[in-house]
Amino acid sequence: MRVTHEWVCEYVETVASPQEIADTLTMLGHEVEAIEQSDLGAVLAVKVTPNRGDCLSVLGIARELAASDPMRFQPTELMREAIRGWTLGDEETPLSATSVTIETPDLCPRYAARVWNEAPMQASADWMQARLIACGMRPINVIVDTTNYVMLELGQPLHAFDLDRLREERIVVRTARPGEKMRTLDGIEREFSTEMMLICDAERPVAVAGVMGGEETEVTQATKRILLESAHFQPTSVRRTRRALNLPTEASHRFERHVDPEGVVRALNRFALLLSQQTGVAQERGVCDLYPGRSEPQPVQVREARWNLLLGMDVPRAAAAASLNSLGMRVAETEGGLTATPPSWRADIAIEEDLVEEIGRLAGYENMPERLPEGSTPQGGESALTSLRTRARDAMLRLGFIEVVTHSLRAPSPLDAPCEPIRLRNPASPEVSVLRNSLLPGLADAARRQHDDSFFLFEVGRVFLPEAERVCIAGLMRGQLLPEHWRSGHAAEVDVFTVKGALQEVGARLHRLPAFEQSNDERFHPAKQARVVVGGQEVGVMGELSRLLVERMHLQPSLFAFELDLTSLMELPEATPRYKPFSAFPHVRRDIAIEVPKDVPYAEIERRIRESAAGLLEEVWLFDVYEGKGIEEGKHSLGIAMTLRHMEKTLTDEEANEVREQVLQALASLGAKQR
Amino acid sequence: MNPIEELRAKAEEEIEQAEQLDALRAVEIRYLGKSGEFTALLRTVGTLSPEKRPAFGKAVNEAKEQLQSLVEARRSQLELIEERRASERERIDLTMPGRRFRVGIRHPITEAEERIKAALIGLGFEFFEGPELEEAKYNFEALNYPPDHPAMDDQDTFYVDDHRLMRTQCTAIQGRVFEQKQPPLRVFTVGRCYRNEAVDRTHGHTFHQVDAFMVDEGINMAHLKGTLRAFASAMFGADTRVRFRPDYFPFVEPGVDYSISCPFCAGAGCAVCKGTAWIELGGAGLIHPNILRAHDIDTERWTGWAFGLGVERIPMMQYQIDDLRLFYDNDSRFLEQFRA
Repeated sequence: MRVTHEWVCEYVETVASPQEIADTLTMLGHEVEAIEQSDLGAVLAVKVTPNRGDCLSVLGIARELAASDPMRFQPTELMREAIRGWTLGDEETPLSATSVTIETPDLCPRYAARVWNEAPMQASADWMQARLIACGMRPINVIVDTTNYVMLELGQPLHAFDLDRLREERIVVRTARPGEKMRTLDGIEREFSTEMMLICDAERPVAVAGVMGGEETEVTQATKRILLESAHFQPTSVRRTRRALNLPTEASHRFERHVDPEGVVRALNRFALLLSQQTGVAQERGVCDLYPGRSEPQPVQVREARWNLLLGMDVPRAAAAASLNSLGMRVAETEGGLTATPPSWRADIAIEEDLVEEIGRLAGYENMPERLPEGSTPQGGESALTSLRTRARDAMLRLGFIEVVTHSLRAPSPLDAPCEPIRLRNPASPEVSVLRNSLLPGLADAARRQHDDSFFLFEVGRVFLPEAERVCIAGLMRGQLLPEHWRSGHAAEVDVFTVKGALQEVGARLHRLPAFEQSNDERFHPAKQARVVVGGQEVGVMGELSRLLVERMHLQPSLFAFELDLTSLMELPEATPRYKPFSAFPHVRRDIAIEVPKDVPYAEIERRIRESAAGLLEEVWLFDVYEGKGIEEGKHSLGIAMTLRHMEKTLTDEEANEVREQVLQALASLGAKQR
Repeated sequence: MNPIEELRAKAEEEIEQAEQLDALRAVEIRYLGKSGEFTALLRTVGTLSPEKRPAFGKAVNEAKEQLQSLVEARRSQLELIEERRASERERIDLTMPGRRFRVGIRHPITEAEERIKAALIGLGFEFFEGPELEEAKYNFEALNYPPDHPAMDDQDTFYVDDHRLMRTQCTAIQGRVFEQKQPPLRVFTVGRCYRNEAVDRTHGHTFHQVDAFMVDEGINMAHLKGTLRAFASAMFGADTRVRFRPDYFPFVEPGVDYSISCPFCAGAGCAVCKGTAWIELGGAGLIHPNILRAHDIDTERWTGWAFGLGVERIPMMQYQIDDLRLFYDNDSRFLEQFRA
C-alpha cells in the first residue's frame, strides 16, 4: 500500500518526519519498504501483513500511529469525522430509485447503494488526481477517481454502475448459474463457475463480486445516472473467485483481507461529499442498505498472568487496558485481567494470544528482556540419516571431490533413473517441471560449468522416486587424477577403477563395504558398469557413462559416475570396526607372477590366495597386469604381491616360500601358470 | 716460556688457521696424534728430576685436552661452512609453483548449514528431517493456515497433485514432530524449500531454510529473544544483538520478524546492512495455541516458540555474494573461491 506523507498528516497532526513515521510503522509491524518522492512529497510504501486488511487505508495507518503514541500522533478533526462516519441525514430513508436482493447472505453479509440521477463526466479535482498518481493509480474521471480515492482513504472498495444499463434498475447478489458469462472491465469475456459470487441485475451478471465490474454497465461518457455499490463480501469467497479467474485487483486485495462491515455506508457518504464538493452534484435521497449478516464482535478475555508470562516482561494492567482501548477495543476489567471487544475492522482478534500480541506490540518489543530457556535440558544431536550423510560427504571431501548443489526441480533428462519422474502439476517452465529421481542430471549440468578438463564433483541430496523420497550421494569425474605440474607432467587418467576406489573409501567410512556386480543400466557403458551391492542389497550404480548418451548431451567424453542410495544404506547393518591386535614381528613380502586365462575373475584369484595363505597373509594386492608379447592369446599375466607375517615370531625365508608355493598350487586349479 | 706452553700456543694458532677439514685433521695428528709433538714432549720427562715429573706430565695432558676441544670446535665450524657451501650448489627457484593437490571443497550452502547445525545442537536442539515433497496438510492446515487465506499468497506453491506439494517452508516438520514426540522438546531442521517464483538475483524457486522450535513449561518471548541472541552470537560473533518487530505468520502468535545487529560494520552502516545497522534474518514467534491444541498439548502448561531463517543469506552476507543463482550454477570459478 502506497500512501503520501501529507495525506497521513491530514489524519494525524504530527511533527514526525516521513522517516520517523516509517520507523514507527515498521516497529508496529507495518514494514515501510521504501520512502519514495512524488509531486506531493514523500510516499511511504507500506507492506501490510495479510491479517491486517484494516491497514490498507490512510485511516487504518493513521489509527495505528495514533494508538502507538497519541501525544505524538494526534487525531485531526478529519480523522474524528471519519471515525464518526459523515452522516448526510438521509441514511434512514429507504432508496426508492433501486432495489437490492441478496440471495447469498453468507457470502455477502452487507450490501449498500446510493444513486445519483446526474452524472457529471468530468475530470476529478487536481488535488485528488495528484494524490491518486502519488499513490500509484491512474486518474480516469471524477466518478472512478472518487471511488478509488475513498478506497485508499477508508479501505472500502466502491463500484459505480451505469444505472440505466442495469435491467430493471435493480441489483441481485447471487452465485453464478451454470455457464454464465460476462465481459469484465479489462475487456476479457469470462465464464463463471457456480460457486462464484456475482453482482447481477434482473437478468445477467454485471460484476464479479469484490473483484471487478462488467464492461457493459461500466460508467462512460454517455452515463446519465449512477448506482454506487459499497458492500462487505466474505473474504474466502472473493479469494477463491479471484484465484480461479486469476484476476487480482485493488478491490479483491482488500476484500480478501477483511473490509470493515460497519464502514460500508460511511464510504458511500464520503463519496457523496467528495463528489458534491468537486461537481456540486448531490445524491438522490436515501440509502439502500441490506445487512443480513450482521455479526457482533465477540469479547475476548486476556489474563494479566498470561500476558506477563508469554511476553516475558511485565506490562501493568492499566497500560495494557490503555493499549487495547487505543486500538478501538471496548475494554473492561475482569477478575485477573481484561476483557476486550475488538472493533468491527479487526477480524484478526479472536483469542487471548491475539490480545497478548497487541499488548506486547504497543509496549514495544525493544523493552523485552533476553533469557535462555530454563527447565529441561534435552540432548541435542543429529539424526541417523543426517549423520550418515555427513560421513559420506566427508569421505568425498577427503578424496578431493568438490561439492555441488543442484536443483531438484528440473527438466527430464536422459540421465534420469529408469523410472518415471514425478511431475509438477503447475510447472514454472519446462526447465522446472519434474522432481529429480537421480542426482546425475544435475551433476551433468554442473560439469558444463567446470573450466578445467579434469573435475571431480559430487552432490548429496534428495531424489524423488514414485514410492519414496531418498537421500543419495553421487559423483561425476573425468580427466587426470592430479592437476598437471611441472615436476611430474600428466598424471594417470580417471577410469572405472577410480570410481570403484572412491566407492570403497565411502563404504569404509560408512562401515558398509560395497561389492560390485554386473549390471545393465542404459545410462552407462554396457561393459563398464556395475551395480553396487551391500549385504546382498542393491544400493547404487557406477561405471563409465554411456558414450552415446554423453555425445548426445554434448558433454565432455570419458565421464565416470556413481550414485549411492544413503537411505537404503542406513537401513543396512553397520559393520563397526573392531580392534585387531597386530604382530610386533617384521613382515616378509612375496610376489608371484602368473599367467591366467582372462575370463578368470581377479576376485576369484584373490579369494584362493586368501584361503591358501590364511593365517600368515596380511595383505594382498595386484600390482601389475600385462598382456601381449610373450603371453598366450586369451590370457594375461598378473603380478600379485603378498605380505606375510606371524603373530609370534619372525618368519623365515623357508616358511614364506612355503606359503608362496601353497598359493601357486591353489591357483593352478584356475589354470594359472607361474611365469 | 716453558716448552709446554710454547708448543700449546703454536698448536692453537695452527688450529685456528686451518681452513679445511683435512688441514685441521693434519694439525690434529701432528700435535695430538700418537706420534705427535706432545707425545715427543712427554718423552723428555726422563730428563727431569723425579719430583718434577708428575707436575710435568699433568701439564702436558692438560694442554692436550685443551687443544683437543679446540680442534673439535674448529671442526664443527668447518663442517658447517662446508655444508653451506655444498648446499648452495643445490639452490632452487622457489618462486616456481608448488605441487597442486586435489582438495575437497564444501559447497558454501553446506558450510553454512553445518555451522547452523553446530550452533543449534550446542543449544540442545535435535535434528529432525521431514520430506520435501510434503503432504499439503503439513505445509498449511497443520500450521494454522485457514483455508484460502491470503497468507498463502507469499508462498506460491508447486503442487504434484491435490494432496502433495513441494514444501514452501521447513516449518512443515512441526506437525510431524508433534505426532511423534511429546514436550519438552527442542527440534530443528535444515533443508530445501520451494516456491513458484520468478527467478532473479534475489529470488529462486528453490532455497534452503532453517526451522527451529521448542516447547517446554513457561516458555515465552524473552526465551525466544535470548535463544536467538545465543544463536546469532555463535554464528556472527559474541557482540551480535537481536531486535524484534511485530510480523504475521499464521503459525505463531505473537509473531515477529527478527533482525541482528550488523556484524560487518558494528552499527556504522555498510553495504551488507544497507546503512541501517540491522540485518533482517527471519520470522519467529510463540507457537500458535491452535497448533499445540491440535496435538492435545495443554497450552496452560506448555508453551513454545519457533524461528526460521534462510540459509543462503548467510554465505551471501559472509562472502558478499550478490546473486542467489550462483549457488546453483556450480561454476568452478565460484566454488573454488571459498575453500570451505
